[in-house]
Amino acid sequence: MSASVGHQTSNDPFDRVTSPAPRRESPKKRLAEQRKALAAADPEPEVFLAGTTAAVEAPELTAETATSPLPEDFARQVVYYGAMSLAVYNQTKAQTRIEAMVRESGGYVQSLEGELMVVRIPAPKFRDMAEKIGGLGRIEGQSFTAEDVTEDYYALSTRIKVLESTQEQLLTLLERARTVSEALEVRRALDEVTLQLEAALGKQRLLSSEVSLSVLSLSLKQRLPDSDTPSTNDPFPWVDDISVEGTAWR
Amino acid sequence: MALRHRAMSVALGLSSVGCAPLIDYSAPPGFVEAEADWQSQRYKGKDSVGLRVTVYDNVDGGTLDYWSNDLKTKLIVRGYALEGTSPLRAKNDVPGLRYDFKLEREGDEVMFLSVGLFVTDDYRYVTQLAGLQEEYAGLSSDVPALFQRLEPGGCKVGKDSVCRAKTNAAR
Repeated sequence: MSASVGHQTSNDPFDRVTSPAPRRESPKKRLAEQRKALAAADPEPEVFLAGTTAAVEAPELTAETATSPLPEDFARQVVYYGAMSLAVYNQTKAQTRIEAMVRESGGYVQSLEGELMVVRIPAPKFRDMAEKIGGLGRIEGQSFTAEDVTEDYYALSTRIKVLESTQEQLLTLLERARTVSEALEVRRALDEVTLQLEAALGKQRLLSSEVSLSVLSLSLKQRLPDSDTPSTNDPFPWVDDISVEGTAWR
Repeated sequence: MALRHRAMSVALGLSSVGCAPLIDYSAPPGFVEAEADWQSQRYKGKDSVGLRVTVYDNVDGGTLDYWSNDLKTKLIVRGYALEGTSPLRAKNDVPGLRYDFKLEREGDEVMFLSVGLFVTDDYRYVTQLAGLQEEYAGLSSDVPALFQRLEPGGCKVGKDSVCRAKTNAAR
């Protein structure tokens, strides 16, 4: 969505306000078209809960929604984060295999630097993928967290609705402005609202991405011949020394 | 080397009672010594093949049955597939067991691991031979000889009361 609606074709305020060109589209119509295009390019996010998907249902905008508690039917938004430390026998092969597995799942490799790898995995497949990746080596440590961002998401959705409504009202006012000073005043307010709306939409896109694509940080260490295998509280951890890694040579 | 020195010194100390708790394990043909410390010796064979001998103290009640079951269970939990078991008998007639495992992990080459275990009153001896599975075919018949060249020290578990009494007296 453009932050300069109505300013693209002319910088003469009189041209628009006092004597609009007959063939120029109205700002509201243009805004509606831009929103339609944006919606097509960036569809409503989906949330994933226990392996199911549900479209986010934004509530009707009323004066109360901005401060009202979360509606019961508002789909839960959860961001999943995971970190795993793996000792792999062949680091290069493991990285290649993980890349392929992540791509197959519909995710992507966000970064790869030395033994550190960050991958994004579609939320419904996160658990299965973490297990599969864990099977590529010996898990030396792992942690998983789920952050419920439903309230943040709801607040953001509500704020966007309010800003969009305000933007439309200001556009109506702009069309009805009778003097240059009136038009300029409305224009300033409209620009301010448009900027806020852009920022809120950006945050929403980021949050949607975090909800739909879980983040898994991986540390892939080469399994050295003398690598120990953790034995938890086993009183006789001697079997940690008995391994292919501790005996075979690369 | 350290293991050998310790083995020799302890052996010399107890030679009067005829029970050597630790013994030397020299490089078998085709292998070279790569690492050695007081508890372990490691040898390198052809390509990926490695051989390792490790000694652990035994504890009261630790029998061959107990430790072999412990070893087998824990390795299976770690993802090793048990391919076979067979009895061993060390150079000095201490009974042992051999376990052959295969390790298949996604993204890794298939590896083999053969483990020999001998248990005496005082010690547990573990011999390991590992490498790429494709190299195992040419080695499998050599495994018993590689493992049985070990001469475990200490008395046979619960069967050699004379030896144990003499060992205790010497301590």
